[in-house]
Amino acid sequence: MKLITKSGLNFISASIFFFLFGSLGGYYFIRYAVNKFLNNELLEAKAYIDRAEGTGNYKLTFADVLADSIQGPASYREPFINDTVIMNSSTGNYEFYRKLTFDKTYENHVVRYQIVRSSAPSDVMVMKFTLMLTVFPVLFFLILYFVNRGSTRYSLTVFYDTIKKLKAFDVNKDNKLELMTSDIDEFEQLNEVFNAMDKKIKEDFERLKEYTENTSHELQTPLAIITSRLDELLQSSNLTEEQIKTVAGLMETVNRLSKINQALIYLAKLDNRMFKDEEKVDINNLIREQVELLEPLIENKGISLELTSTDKCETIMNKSLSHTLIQNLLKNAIRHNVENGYIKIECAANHLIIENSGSPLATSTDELFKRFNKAGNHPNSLGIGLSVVKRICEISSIDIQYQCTESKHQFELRFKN
Amino acid sequence: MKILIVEDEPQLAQSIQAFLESEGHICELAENLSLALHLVDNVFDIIVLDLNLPDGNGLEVVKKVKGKGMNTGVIIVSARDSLDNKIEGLELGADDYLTKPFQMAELNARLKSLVRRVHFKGEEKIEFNELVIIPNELIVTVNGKPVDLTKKEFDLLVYFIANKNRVLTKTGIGEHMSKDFMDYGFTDDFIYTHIKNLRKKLLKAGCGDYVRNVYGVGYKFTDAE
Repeated sequence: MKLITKSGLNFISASIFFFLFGSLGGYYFIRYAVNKFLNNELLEAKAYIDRAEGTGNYKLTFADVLADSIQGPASYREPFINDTVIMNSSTGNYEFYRKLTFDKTYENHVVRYQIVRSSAPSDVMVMKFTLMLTVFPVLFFLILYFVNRGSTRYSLTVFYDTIKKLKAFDVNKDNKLELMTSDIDEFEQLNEVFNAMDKKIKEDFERLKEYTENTSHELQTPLAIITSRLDELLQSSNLTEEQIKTVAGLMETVNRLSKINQALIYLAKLDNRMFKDEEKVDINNLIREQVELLEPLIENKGISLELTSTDKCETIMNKSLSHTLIQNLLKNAIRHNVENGYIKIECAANHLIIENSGSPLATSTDELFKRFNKAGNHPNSLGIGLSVVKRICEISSIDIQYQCTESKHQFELRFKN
Repeated sequence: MKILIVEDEPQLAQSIQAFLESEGHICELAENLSLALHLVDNVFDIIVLDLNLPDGNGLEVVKKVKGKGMNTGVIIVSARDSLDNKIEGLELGADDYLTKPFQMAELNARLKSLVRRVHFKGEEKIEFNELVIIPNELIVTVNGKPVDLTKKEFDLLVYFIANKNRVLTKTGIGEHMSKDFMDYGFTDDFIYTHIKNLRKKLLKAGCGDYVRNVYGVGYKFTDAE
């Protein structure tokens, strides 16, 4: 839930609660005040009647008096006030009245006085007051709500902008995180923190990359010494089979070490964006070239290759990267294929699908592009080829998707124009 | 051949020197740039050059040698394999670029190829018993009859003959064959297929079986029993 929605909802629910109680309270308070006023009037009327002493010599302009002689003792010794409804004889409508009833005992008879005072005008007033108490605050709060919402939304633009930029944050991109400035201290502080973090992260990342590249290079020379020494040893004529196997095994291990190292250097270079020159690359041609190059391997495994090309497929990218990309994908399709399997390559405009048969994936699809993640147990596989593919795709704005069903593996690439 | 080895790592320098001398070359060693620059006043046929020297960049040597118009082949041997370095070196006139670590067989093959290019303008024939190879024209004949080889098989044969009587590991051969493209260990099946095909074609043409398997770890090209 958005902050603005949440605070709006809180505001509205709290307002409804308080309006309800406020207007109810207001209604009863006014009701009480009006009744008090009417009661006073009725009591005043009673005082007139008392002063008249049964002569009926009283004149009231604000109330009507009904005087009835009653049988039996007086039941309303104390004045009793209540609300009543009396039918208006001229209109036939029922109207509300405030009534004061009291019995007055004279020498030989009891007179019951009923003083009534129409409460209709005051009822209308009460209604109007209550309405006012309800409608005006509602209007007032609605206006307040919208103004508040607008101003919050305006202040939050900086916040949303920051979130958007942080989402797009990529440690590999060399552009700076440029956050909007805000007149709100909290957001300004937040952005300052983020800017500082951005700088720090990128600096650390740079240093790490430099370190990786330097270490990797420094490692190459000792590896060269080991290789050459082992080579010398291997050429000696008096070695037993066991010794030759050991030395050759060592040479292979050193070579593997050096390959890993080179691959890491390559990845570091990709990360350092050392492949900048871009040119038009014809994917169709590229695939044909690479297929030709890898033909012996394809034949060796008895793989049938089907290449369909429906349209010209061209993209703008670095040439050397495009070679590595296609080659790694093809090698992957060959290496993880089964004997006498198949590879299907479909090339359409801006679109390439490489599909191959193979055994089901042991690891999850997400893990596939990670470094040193090896699907299956291939002794010659370093588990780095696909992470190179991924990185090249990222650099060259190619969208790559991997799908896998039981024995079918498919890579789908979408090129930018 | 007179070869200058410019390499600051003594172990590696000795190793290269020992190997080249065993191949019958005369070697001189320079462990830093100033000595190398001083030494190239003499005439060498080939210079094996490391770029990262304690007192400067080895490319200075290339500049000096090529600037004088000396007929000297230069092979750069460097730990840095970035394309820029390669291009810069080759643009200055270096003839080949080898990335560390490398196997001696690879250096040897490159060296021989360079010697042919620089000193014989590629016209030299490579002969091994009944085999004759004309590298420039990609022609191989067995007893005078041409054999049809693919580019890779041809390359492999030249590599074998350049390193005859040496044990060549599968890794080393793979490295050599896949030098055109980045490869993360893919090569065992690859070279096996090529060697199998090459052997088949040579035997069919009536050539002796010179490719020997060495305990499954590598191959040796030899006519010795």
